[in-house]
Amino acid sequence: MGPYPEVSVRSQLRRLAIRSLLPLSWKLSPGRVSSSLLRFAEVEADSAWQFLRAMEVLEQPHQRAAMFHDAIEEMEHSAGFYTLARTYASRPLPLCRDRREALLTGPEGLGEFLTYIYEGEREVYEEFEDYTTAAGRQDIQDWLTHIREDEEGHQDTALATLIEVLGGEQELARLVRSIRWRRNKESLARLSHRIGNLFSGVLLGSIFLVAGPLFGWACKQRMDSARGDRERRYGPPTLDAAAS
Amino acid sequence: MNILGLSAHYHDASAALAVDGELIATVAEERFSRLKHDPNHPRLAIDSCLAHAGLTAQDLDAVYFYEEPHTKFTRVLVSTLGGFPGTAGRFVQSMRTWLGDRLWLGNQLSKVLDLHPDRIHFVPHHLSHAAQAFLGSPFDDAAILTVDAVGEWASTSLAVGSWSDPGEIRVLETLPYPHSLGLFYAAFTAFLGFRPNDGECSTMALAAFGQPTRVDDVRRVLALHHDGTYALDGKCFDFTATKGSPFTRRFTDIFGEPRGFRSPVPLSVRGDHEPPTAELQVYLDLAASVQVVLEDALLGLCRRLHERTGLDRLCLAGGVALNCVANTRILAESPFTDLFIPPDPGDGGGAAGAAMYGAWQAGDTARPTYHPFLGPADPVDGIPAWVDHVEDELWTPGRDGSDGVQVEQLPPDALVEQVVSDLVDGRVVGWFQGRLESGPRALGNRSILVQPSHTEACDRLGLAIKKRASFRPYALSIAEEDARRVLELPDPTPLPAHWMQMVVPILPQARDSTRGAQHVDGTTRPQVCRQADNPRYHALLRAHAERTGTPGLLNTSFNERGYPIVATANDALLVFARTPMDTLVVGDLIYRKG
Repeated sequence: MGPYPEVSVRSQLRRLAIRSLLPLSWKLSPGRVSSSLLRFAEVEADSAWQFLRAMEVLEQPHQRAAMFHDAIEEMEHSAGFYTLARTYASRPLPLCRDRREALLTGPEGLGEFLTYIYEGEREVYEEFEDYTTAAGRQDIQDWLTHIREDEEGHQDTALATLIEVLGGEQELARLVRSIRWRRNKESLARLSHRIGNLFSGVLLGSIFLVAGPLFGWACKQRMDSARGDRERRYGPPTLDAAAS
Repeated sequence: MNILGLSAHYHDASAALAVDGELIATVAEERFSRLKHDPNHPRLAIDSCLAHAGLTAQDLDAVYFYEEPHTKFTRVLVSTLGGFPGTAGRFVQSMRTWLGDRLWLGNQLSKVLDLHPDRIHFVPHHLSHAAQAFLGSPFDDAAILTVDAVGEWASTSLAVGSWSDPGEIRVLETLPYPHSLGLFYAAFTAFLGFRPNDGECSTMALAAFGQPTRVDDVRRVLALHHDGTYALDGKCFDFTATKGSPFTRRFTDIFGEPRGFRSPVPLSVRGDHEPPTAELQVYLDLAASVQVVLEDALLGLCRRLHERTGLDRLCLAGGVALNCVANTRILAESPFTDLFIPPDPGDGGGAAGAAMYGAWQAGDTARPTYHPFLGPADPVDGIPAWVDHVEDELWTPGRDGSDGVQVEQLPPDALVEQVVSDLVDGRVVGWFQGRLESGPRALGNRSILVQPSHTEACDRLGLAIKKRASFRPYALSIAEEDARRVLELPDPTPLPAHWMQMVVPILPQARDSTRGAQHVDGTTRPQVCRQADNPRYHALLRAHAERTGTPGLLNTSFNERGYPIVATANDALLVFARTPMDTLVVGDLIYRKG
């Protein structure tokens, strides 16, 4: 554990939500088990991607090797979650359509990147404990327990590399505060996006209820027109003898 | 003129760059983002193309996007409102996306690239495909057939192209959505338990195990007309379903219940499986029937196009052109004598089409050469120092079970000899060279190679590295000089045989030596490699043929299941470390486990 074991307010809120809402959510909708696990798989794969991109920026061989090591473990986690997601899925799993955003784009951002990783891994480590409790399914619990050990290792790697990069712990407190603030803003943005989606859904649904009866018939005619024209010109579809 | 072509927001977002008419770079965003079929704005792909040419966005004279958003929006709006009241979810989802950003794509591109809006242009989707197929082809005049899921409204288009003065690409006729061969095949792909827009290759592979006993049933939902056109029965399909199936109750009344996606398919391309159960046989026969009807539909379109143009050469584009079995029938049975299919005929290649079309429109007279090796290279200078710092146990053990990895830098001839030795010894080799291939086929720059007669190595490849269904065949790479010793190949070699775009029977005397790279019906999807196509890979194929006397290597794309083909050396090393791959070659470096 690093020098900042205290948990942020945001993290506490998230953990509370996991403990209280997740069991109910998973019980009410089995499909959400699969989608949650798929989401974990995507997050872990994104972490691996971040580590690989960081390798291209880092110069010290041992740091690059550490990133490579963590990338491999994150890929394994992702594959494990994907397998579990498939177990609980009722249809083929969809492809991930999220946009990738590299956390590290140049050597100057290395401190922030490592702090971000450190904070992220710590949060995941804590949240996976809650997920393990809330999951209520042995296979998921076993997997979460297994990878929590790796996540703890990633925290340690990130912290050790960070201290090495910073040349000490003096700057650490400021960076942690800065990254926490950034992650809070990101969470707020995600929440705003969800609320926006809710409102836009209501608004667009209302538009559909008004526009559908008014224009639906005309649109259907437009869709059918191609086939209608063809049938008027050629008669009803018939089998093509040459192709039989 | 520097023209950037872009495709995005459906699947396989890509960027392509034409400089003075020559297509110099094209790459899909998925190769960088590591998200298969990544549909997002291809920021990393754009950066890569510009970096290759040493340009910045400010140096671009124009940007051409591969479809017209406003026209497409009309189709989405009409189709969702037309389905009232059942399409509420789809309407909300679509309008949120379109009104949120996609409708304002011109302004967004202008802002992101910091270019004046006048420099942003939009090309109709099927015109991009037609340009991609014709402008990069070796033909002076050709008929052009584009068949995909859907663009703006068109799902099939018949066109003609000419380089003669004044050159033109003229669309003669389009067949509109929802009558779509791409959506037809995707719907059956979903019915057969695979992911639509991704698992079509599985449907095609399954077809070889079945008999086309249900052609008449399939023709009830896809009517083929005497004039070569076709029509889907709209009551059987629902392409506006938000999350549900793309087929309706009426469809399942005809074909029964869909196959569960977790139901096993215990079939092997080697044919050494138990006879399929009666339940599975139903789906196998259906796959075979769907494949036959698709081929018949394409042949009808070819006849129609030939009648309208009188030309003997055909350029084929759109996602349906990835169906190599259908391409083979087009070559054999259509009135056309020559066929060109671009390296990436799907939407990813739309960026190249838009770029070439833009250059052509701008008056660049250079004739582009469209070959697959237009992606970025990842130069590797010497052995990376960090590899020594990786713990031995991190490398997944190879064939002999021992840990650790040795790295050597070898001169080219010695490298080829060592790789041939490894292949002969049954090692699975990752082969990473030069510029990344565009399109879905690995053609010797980002490939995993195995000697196809080595059963144990082929099994390990399928089970532990690619984790691929045993009913899906692998492709065969072979040097052109050796091809006729192994393949029943038409003379001259058809263009699609160079890029794994058709299937060819394997000669009986070569069946044993190539058994890992053939389908259950004794065919393979060949890459007939010429020296000029890929000199180093050609040298490897020749050296292997000389050493063993049995030409041909199993060649599959360098990736893990669910991920795109690797782009960088680090991506390749990650796959090497995570899987029981035995040897990895990156440029002149050879990494060996054990």
